[in-house]
Amino acid sequence: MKSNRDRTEIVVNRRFSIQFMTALAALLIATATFASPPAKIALKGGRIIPIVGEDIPVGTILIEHGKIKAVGKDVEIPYDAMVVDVTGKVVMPGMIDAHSARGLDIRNENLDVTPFLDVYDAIDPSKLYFEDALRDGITTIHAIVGHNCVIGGLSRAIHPIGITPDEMTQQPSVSLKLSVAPQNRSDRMAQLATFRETFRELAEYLDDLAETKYEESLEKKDEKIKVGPDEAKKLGKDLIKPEDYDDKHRNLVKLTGGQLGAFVYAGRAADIAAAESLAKQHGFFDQTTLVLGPRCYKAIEEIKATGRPVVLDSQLLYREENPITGKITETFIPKVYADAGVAFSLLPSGDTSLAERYLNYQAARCVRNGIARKTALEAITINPARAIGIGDRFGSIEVGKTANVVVMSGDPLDFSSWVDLVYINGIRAYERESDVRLKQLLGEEKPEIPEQVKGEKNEGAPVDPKAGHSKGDADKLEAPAPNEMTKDAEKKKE
Amino acid sequence: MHLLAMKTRHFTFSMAGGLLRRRYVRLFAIAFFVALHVAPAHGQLLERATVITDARIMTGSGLVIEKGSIIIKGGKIEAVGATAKAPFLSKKVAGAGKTVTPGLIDVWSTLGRTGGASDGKATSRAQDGFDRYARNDFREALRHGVTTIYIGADGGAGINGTAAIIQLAPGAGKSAGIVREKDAALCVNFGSDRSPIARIKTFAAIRKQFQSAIDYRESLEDYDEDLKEYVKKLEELRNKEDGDKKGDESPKDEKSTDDKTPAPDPGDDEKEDGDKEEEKEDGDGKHTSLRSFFAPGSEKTPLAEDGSDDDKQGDSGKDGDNNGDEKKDEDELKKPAKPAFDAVSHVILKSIDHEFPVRIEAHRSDGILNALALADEFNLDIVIEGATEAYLVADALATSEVPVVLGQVGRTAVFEDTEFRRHTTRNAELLTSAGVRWMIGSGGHDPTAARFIAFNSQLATSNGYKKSFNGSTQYAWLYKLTGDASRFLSMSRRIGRIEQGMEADLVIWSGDPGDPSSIVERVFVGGKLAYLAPQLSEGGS
Amino acid sequence: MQFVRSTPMVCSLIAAATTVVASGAHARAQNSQRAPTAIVAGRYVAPDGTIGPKRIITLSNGKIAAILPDAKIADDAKIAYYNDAVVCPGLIDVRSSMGAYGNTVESAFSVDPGVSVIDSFVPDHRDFRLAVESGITAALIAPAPANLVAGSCAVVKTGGKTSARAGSVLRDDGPLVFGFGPATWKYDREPTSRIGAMAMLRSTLADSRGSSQHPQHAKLQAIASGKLDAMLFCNDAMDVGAALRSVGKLAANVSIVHTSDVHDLAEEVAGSKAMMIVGPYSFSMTQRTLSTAGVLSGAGVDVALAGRMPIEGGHALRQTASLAVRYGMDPAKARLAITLNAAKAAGVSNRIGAIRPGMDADLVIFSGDPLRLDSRVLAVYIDGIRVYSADEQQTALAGGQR
Repeated sequence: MKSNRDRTEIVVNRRFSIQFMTALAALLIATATFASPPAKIALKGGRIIPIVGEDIPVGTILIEHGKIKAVGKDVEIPYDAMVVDVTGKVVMPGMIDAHSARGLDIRNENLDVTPFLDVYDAIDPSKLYFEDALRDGITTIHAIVGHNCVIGGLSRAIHPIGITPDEMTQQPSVSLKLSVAPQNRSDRMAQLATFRETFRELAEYLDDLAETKYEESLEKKDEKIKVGPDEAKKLGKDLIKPEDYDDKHRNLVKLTGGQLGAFVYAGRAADIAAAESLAKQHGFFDQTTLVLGPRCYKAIEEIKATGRPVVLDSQLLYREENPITGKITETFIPKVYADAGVAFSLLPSGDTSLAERYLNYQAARCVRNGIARKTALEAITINPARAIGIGDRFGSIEVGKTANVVVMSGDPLDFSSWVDLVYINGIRAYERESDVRLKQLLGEEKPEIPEQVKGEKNEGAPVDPKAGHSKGDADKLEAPAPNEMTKDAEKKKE
Repeated sequence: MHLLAMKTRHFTFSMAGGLLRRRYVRLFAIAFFVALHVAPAHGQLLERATVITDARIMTGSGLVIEKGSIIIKGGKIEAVGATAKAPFLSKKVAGAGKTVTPGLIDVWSTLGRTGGASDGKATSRAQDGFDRYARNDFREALRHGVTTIYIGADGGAGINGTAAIIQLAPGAGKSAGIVREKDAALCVNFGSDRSPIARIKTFAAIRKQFQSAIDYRESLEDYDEDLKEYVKKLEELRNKEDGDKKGDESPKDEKSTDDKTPAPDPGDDEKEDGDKEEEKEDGDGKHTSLRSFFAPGSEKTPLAEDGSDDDKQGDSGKDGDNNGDEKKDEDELKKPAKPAFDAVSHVILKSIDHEFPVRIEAHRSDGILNALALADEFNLDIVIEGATEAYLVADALATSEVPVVLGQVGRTAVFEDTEFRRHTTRNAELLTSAGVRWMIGSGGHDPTAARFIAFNSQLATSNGYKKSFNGSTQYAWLYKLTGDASRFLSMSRRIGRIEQGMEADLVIWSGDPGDPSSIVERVFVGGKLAYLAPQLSEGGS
Repeated sequence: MQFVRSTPMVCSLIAAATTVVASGAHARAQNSQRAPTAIVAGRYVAPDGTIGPKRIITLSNGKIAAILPDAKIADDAKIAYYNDAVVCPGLIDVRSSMGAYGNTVESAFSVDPGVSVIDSFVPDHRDFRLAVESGITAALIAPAPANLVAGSCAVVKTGGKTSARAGSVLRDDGPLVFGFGPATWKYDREPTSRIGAMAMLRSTLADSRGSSQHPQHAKLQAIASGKLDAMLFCNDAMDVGAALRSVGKLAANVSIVHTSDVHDLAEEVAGSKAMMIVGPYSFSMTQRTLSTAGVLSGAGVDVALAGRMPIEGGHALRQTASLAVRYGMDPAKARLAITLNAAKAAGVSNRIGAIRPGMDADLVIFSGDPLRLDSRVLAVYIDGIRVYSADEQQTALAGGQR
């Protein structure tokens, strides 16, 4: 853990490494404390929002060996537990980003059908995104690759700490990304034709493999081929072992065999039926999660009928102009789903300059638009966990679940609340007190800049707290740091 | 079916034609009654019928019933005529003063088409690009009486996929549009907007694809034969072995020596070849080839040569006994190599087998003549779409009995040097005089134009028919969009006319359908109310 | 391809086509001569735009002499009978560049009142034959509105005494064209923006009130003093408002050329008494655009519809009227919009645009209501002389021969 934080900092601040030395030291001290986590932790005195079950106004969570041992009003705290007093704070399960490509080095292979790819090879642990995710209270990220492909790569659920993709992994091989809506090309017809062709080719491959296996089996027994290809295909079917599949087809076989989830992207209402029939036809309907573009809400009845989990686009508002009257109607998309009783997951926006990047902001918007608070909170915790297929271990504060817990200074839907502490697997992964970068951003701590750097590089940099982000890490950041933060900070200072 | 519909290009507007048609109708009515009594749908018997009373009925076959009723039940027209009586407890729609016509059919449309143009895959299907939720567009089309559309797989120059016929019936949820015909035609575009050289190349490429489809079929047939022979030989061998086993031990020895030479090997080699060819087929798409991704260069041979390659391999296998001299019999027993699957050829072969026609969009006269040549060479049922310059080659079209589908008559392209340079509003008129069968659609490029096919047809026919059409020139345009259109799409037994047994696609107009001040009050699609004019929805009638 | 280029073949084809087409004519004018003294109309388009009953229209000297319900006609009268047809005043395309030879954009100055489009007019232009075949007997040709003040329009007839230029020109000092909107803003000369354009227009009009006798200023003075008509070309609703509030207040008769979205301004336009010129309409327009004419005329605005020949084909004028009716315009008003209102906008309603005694005998015989697109043009008369007859149709592939 320690070295991961370490490395993140170094990579991120390559050009400012000296100026951040002190900051680093502080962080190292902070991280050192959770390098070897205490076996038992008790978060005592906070308001607990367990998501599953009623809120506990004042309660205690007992974490033991990375798992939640007990939750409740009167939990007996063992003598050897490390007690963390969170009185006056709010404790909730870590938020879950159900569909993200932001921690990746490259998001897409420039091919249409890439089931042989694994997001494992694209995860870049040095991305500033992971640090931001912690700060924003996100403890699980469903990293997914191939949004522009017809069939993308294999995804995995990761947490934002760890120095290697292995360390970061919570759950490998979660699902394959498929898209019935055209992405990098403009045509739906060709998209579906590609699916047809891929699955036809898969069937042919399996037939041929069976035939080959049959022939091989005879060869081993020193016998001659006795039957024609059609017969051989039938006989050879049972001889295929999982390791026989080649890279190109292995994951597709798993998909059609129901061993792999499918995240199917639909861009328009008309795509729902296409997604459904594709999934049913090829045997992965029961493992399918629908990732829906803004316009899909028009097919709400069809969506509801599928009964599959739904992940919504980060754009929550849809505007449409009436062609006759010119009147513009606005639809708050999650409301449509909530009214229909469809369980949905919210996504944060990839644009870091927008407030939509915060999952709890997205949930707060839902509440503002008339959705029940509970539904809104579920949409950023347990629903995404279930959509990814890890709902039994993550997404809520329940006994036996992994201890991914966020402690906030106030209500999660109140936008002035801060994320104070983040526990991942019972390890304290983040504490605001030690967040050097945040302090710099807020002007609480000024980085020391050597004279020569001052002279050479951007002069305004040390004064502008944003500079450390936006200039030094231009290659690492998708967009400049949020303006709101700076403004808030300035206000606070006054 | 399609052939029949298309080859009858001479329009019979005379009484004789009417009689013939009536006889046909009567036959059909009898057939329908038989069907009805043999298999009565119990659900339908309980359903309340809808009756449109005392309306002027334009049946879509040229016949006008000045005052009559239409009874709709079970999505079909149960009875029609002056004497048709409403069943007990039926819903009544007052039709006095109104005119009822069949739902209009747009035989060349892009209504509901999403996204941009396809990159031209023959395996594409138009219905995949159809947005059932383009509600405003459909409502607008229904508002002008359009109930059925033919949507092509549009795209760039080349073979673009198969077309679909869609009925604008209310669907699940807020959707509309039921696919009635999946593969209604193979859509080909000659790229009339391109330079002469590019047009030549396009035509050559399309011709080649048709040729390679035929070659592919031959190689498939060869393979089937070889396979049969191979299986037969295997069987013989097996029988022989069984016999031998009962006999003495000596064959066993032979077998063991044989096994040392890797007998299945040649088969395996070929297997791999087969594999490669499969991937090659994948590589046909732009980026789809995984094999090329892993090992670029493994694919080279174009499709057309596959078959011949296989033949050669097969031949050499038979001729040269390159597997050693030990056992000739065994060596000859070689598993035939399967030709790589060719999805494109499978689609093309269906059109060659007349399962559906080939729709060729060609605007310039050279393209039209090329299309005729293609049809000649491969014995295709073709339809020319667009056909801007058809009047220049009208006699060639008439001789080959190839129908054309015209797009927007009121197209404007006066000074542009495009494929529409020689556009004239009198194309239809000149084609009629030359004896070419023509149909009228909204044109394959403007989704919003589908709603105005009535106007478009009026523009085409106002000059196109100077002779009287069943006593009046006025309703030629309607016939083109109803009875004639359904015949053209081989759906004349289901839609396009108001006759007993036909599907109840009906439009109730407030006045004469040709008068722009008439509005569509109600539209029934498949017997269901698909559109109700806003003026009526408040008060109801 | 060789085949296409062989002209004789094409010609023979056309000839064949013509014979067949002509032989099947529907309403046959019996006893008709090229210059009849009376026309018997089965129905006719009355001056209020409605379709009236059977009338006998007597002609003399190229003018309409009388419209009689039933009268004794001198035995020797040359009568053209159109018993099954509808006689309509000649259609007028009020936004056209027909017969204009070359480019009508003068790009050197943004204020150019001296320009007169008649200088580019070619009387025997091929556009006119097409126009006549489509029932259009007169057109207002305007200079392209790419300037703040673009010049004067002209009003011409499409046939009749066309060979002599003077004969076919009804008016060469038509309304002065003002351009509003982005087309008039240039990057290399003033004005460069909307506010700049309006400022320039105001100062131009103010300057013209001075004592200058420059011909450039004469027309602007006439506008400023309410003696000249103005035609204001607009791009969007904001332009329409600006046009009404500037030149619209000054000029004698104002017509505003604008096609689409002015629904919200309907009342303002109605109050200003300006004529709205709407169209042409195409099949690809939105419902809102197509309902513009209906909404405006419903609000009491006088609407004229434009066909914009030859940029659009000859069918466009009637197609526009037909679409306008389908989208809510009153049919009588739609008929007026392509005849009398168009004549008013062009300032020639004393001569053409209605079937009234004393008006020019410019008549189109349709097989049915001119608003119906399945109605055909059977014959066209200009100044009492038949210039087109479907029966004797001479050839001609409309676009094909270009």
